[in-house]
Amino acid sequence: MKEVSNMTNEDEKHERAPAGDSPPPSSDEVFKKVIENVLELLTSKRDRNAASAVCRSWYDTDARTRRDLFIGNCYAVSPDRVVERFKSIKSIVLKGKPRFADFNLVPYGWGANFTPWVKTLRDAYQNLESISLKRMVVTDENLMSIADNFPLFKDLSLVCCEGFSTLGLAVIAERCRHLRVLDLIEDDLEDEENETVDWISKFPETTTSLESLVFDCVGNRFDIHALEGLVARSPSLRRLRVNQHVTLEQLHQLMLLAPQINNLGTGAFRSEKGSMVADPNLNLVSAFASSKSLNSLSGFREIEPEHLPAIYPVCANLTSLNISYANLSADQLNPVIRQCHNLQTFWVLDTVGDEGLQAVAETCHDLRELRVFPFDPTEDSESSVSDIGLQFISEGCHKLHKILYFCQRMTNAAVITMSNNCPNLVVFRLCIMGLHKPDRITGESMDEGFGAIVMNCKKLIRLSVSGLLTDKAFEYIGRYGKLIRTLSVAFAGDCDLGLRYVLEGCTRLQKLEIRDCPFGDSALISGLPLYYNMRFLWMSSCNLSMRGCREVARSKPNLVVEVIKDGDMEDEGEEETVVERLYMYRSLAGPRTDAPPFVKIL
Amino acid sequence: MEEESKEKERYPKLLHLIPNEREWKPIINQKTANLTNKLLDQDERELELKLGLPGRDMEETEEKPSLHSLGYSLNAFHSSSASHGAKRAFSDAIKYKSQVYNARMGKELSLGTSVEREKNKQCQETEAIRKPLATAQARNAAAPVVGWPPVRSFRKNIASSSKQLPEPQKYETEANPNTNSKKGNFVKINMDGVPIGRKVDLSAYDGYEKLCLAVKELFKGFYQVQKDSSKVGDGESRENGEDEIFSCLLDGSGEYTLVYEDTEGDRVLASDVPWRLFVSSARRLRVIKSSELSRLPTGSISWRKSSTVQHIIKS
Repeated sequence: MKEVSNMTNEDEKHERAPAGDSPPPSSDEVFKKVIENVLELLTSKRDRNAASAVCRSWYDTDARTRRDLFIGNCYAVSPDRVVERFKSIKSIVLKGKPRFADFNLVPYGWGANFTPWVKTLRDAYQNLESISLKRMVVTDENLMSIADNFPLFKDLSLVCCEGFSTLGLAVIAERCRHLRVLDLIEDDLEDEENETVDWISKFPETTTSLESLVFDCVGNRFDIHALEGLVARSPSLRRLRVNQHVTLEQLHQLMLLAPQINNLGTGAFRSEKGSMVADPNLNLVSAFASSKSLNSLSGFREIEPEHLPAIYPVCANLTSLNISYANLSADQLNPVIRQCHNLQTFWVLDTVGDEGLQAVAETCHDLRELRVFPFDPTEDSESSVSDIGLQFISEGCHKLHKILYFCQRMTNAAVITMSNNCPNLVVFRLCIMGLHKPDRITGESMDEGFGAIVMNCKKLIRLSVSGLLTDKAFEYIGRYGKLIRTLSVAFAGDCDLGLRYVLEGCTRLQKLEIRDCPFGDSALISGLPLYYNMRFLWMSSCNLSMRGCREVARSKPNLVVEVIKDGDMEDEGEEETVVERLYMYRSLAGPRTDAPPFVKIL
Repeated sequence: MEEESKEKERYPKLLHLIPNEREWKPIINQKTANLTNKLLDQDERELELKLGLPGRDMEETEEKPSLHSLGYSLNAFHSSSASHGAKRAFSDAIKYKSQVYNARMGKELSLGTSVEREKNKQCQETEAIRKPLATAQARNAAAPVVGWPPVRSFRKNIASSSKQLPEPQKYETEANPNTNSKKGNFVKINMDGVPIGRKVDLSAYDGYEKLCLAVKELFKGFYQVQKDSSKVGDGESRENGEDEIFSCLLDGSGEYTLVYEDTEGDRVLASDVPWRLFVSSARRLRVIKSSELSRLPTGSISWRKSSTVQHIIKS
């Protein structure tokens, strides 16, 4: 704003200047400058998108001044088009495969390659500082390209990606001199056992600007001394999450070297086997006690529960605790959780049972996000959490925003209670693992429970449903879930009506993923008016035929309609052939050219 | 709440619409014909025996078997040995049901007849009964539905890895075959000359023959694409070419051979080991040209797609 007032002052000066000097800037130019200054303050992508749609001038200004690019579907737009519109980008977020790829529903080799992007980006954006990729295929060559072409590169975040190895990481470590963030989260590396590179030792010997180093998913061994050295010369390091090869003793050493850390991934959390060193527990306690800034803990990959008391000194400061790899009972959890009064985010395994969740509910009144993962993720496993645990949570944690809850038994009553007690819910994901499971007490469907959620939680934008559900549930969702942007449905519904309710009612829907539901062509076609407003629709093992899909493709030229098969595509010609997997998305780029043979684009 | 139950009847569940007269039979896809038939017959037989409860259930046995076989077979399909076949059978079943639905539904169905109301009640009971029986069924069967429950693959191994802790070497070979057959065991597979790798679920097959067939299915599409551009011949000769390429993957006499990398990083000929050992120790598969075989087992061939990156790192 300061700049603006300077402008207007100068304006006045010009006007007072005698004739013969350069003409004063027109009001148009002034206005342009004002808009530019204002738009620069807009960082939210939605605000930017809205502003750019106002008029040509605003569009141009946004194109000139936008620094952060978000592309939710890498196939929705071509790299060339992106660089043509936006002139100087500093950070880019790209997302690739649909989420169901995480569960092996998208065949390997489907696409989402980063290669075409990196080629175009490196020529256009010399000042690119930050790349965040999710569910994309990133090769070692891509990582090399990043390291070699962006001299100011600072932040690399790879989430659920694959295709690269420790070789590529070594190049990044070695050549990105200003590296600030290297976050590798839930990636699937390519390494073979005998060809691993110790990438940790490739960081330069000088002081680094590292602030975040997350590599718990990189399962390869590395030289612990190299990591110690790196930590010692990274004074800005705030977040460090190590892999399962780091023992308690080694963790202790790392903590001593980096007392300023506030987010720690503890690796294995077990002692070295046959270690002769004096009780590591004692040293560890003091290490935790001196970590005054520690507020987030994770890891515990191979936990030896007897060492858990070491973290007591930091429990009161913890805002985030992820013990979802630790097989702990309620009794083991209790002494820890009872001290975590300030916890806002908690990820845990269902082994703690309803009793463990009761302890959470009684202590963590500030809880915003809860995730309860299954220890044994199979359809018919025994799970120790149920509607009772959910009831406890809803009674104690009124500030809950996000919940992900895996269980085997649930009741409508518990879900309804949560909908009443936790009105701030923004994300509600309930996964009753057994297929078509009804309310365990009444034997009814789970319609009423989910209905209550959409009715009472007025801020809900993401919903995942499960259990025995009829079309009634979808009627509720369509009628009340007006803000829902992401909806995940599996093994539910009775007929096309269910899907129609959703497509007609959920006007803000962006992402719809459906599997194993009896929805057919007529329902698919009923959603035609909505599809250009959505990012994508995924339907697998439903009741779609080629005829229906072709009709959608015909009616909507800017939709890319992909039919994905895992075997041969020979019977694709027949109109009545059941479509196993449908993935369709709006796109300005048209049908992609890198589709493998098992993908047919209609 | 009364309103709700009335509305429930108006939007009946799938189960309600199965008419009394008709025996429920799914539309059978040729590939799953035998499987489906076997399951159906088995289920119906089992059901008739198990549900011989006294009292009011007796008079409903006429309607129940078809309902039950519907509910049953759904669960049985989910837990049948070939998840591939199961999924398709399920979608066939659903297709049939929705056809029945679509045929009878214009707008809202008013199924206010007393027969239907009784069926509603039955459905609730059958659902309550269905669960314990279904889980018994499920335990007898093998692999579950693909990608369900929706957890990422690294979470699927928590149960097995925590058991392995005390004596890793002892339990590894014992634990692995079990976990591999229970849950999806996806390993990457690459083929020489094909730029895109695939993934194959080893737990879905019971022997090398089926695996080789699957490998053919996975990669033949790529060869068709290549041949389309070069070959002038008709469809028949194209198919023969495929068979040639994919035949004899195991014995080294064909054009290509199946090899794999085991837990220790060694490259092994698939045909050298029995199936079970292969499944438990294979980490990655490769279909290589048989002419390359002579260079084993020095391990001099790099598995990496690109050697240029390696050169740069080593310098």
